[in-house]
Amino acid sequence: MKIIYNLKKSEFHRKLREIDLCALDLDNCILSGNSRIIFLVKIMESLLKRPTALNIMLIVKIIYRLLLYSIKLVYVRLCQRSSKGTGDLFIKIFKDFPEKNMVSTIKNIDFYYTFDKHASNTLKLLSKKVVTGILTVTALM
Amino acid sequence: MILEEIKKQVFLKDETILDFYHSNSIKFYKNTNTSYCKGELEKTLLTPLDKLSYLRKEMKKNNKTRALVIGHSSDEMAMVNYIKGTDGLSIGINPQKNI
Repeated sequence: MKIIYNLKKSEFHRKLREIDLCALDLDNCILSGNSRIIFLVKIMESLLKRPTALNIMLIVKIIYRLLLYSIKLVYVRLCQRSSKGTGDLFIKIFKDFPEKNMVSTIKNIDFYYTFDKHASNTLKLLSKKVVTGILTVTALM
Repeated sequence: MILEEIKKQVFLKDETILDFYHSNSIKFYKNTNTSYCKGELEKTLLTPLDKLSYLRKEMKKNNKTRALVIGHSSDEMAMVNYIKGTDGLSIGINPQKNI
C-alpha cells in the first residue's frame, strides 16, 4: 500500500490535531472494483433462491447487461485511457430491478471489511469535535 | 442507500460520527406500488469542481477552516489544491499513478 501526505509524516501527525473538518473520498471503498462484484454476486444469489419466471428473466437481463458493461469499461479504461468513475455505466445493469431487493442486498455486504483500514485509523486519530463527511462520485446512494 | 449502510456499519463501529455526505443518487420509478431502479443516476456530483464546491459549502456551513482530505484520485485534486492554501492536510491511499 502506498500512502502520500502533503507534509512529512511527523509534521502531518502534529498538525492533525488542528484539523476541524475531514472529508473522505471513498471511491475505492464503496461500490467500485471488488465491491461491485460482491454486490452483483449477492443480487444473483437472492434471485436464484426464488427461481420464478420473473427472477430468471432478471438474471438473463443482468448477465446480458454485465457483458455490455464489461465491454464499455474496457473501452473507457483502455481505449479512452480515462480513470473517471463508471458508476453511471454500472447502474444500468440494474434497470427495472426492485428497490427493496437492492436495499436488502446492500445490507448483506460487510462494508467494514471493504472500508480502507488506513482511512479508519486516521479517523480514530482525529478529535471527536471534527466534522466528518464523505464526498464521492461513484458511490450510489 | 449505500452511504446510509456505511454510516451504520463503519462509523458506528469506529465511534466516529458521520456529519454529512454527498454523492450521486440512483433514480427510481413507481409501478403498481413497487419501486424499481431506473438505471440512471441523478447528476448531482460529477466533476472535481463539484466536490470542491461541496467541501467549501460544508466548511462554511460548519464554520470550519482547517480541512483534511483523504483520497487522491484526479477527482480530489481540486480539493487537495484548495486546502493547501488554507493550512489544511491531505492524505492519499494508493493514489493513481499520475498523482
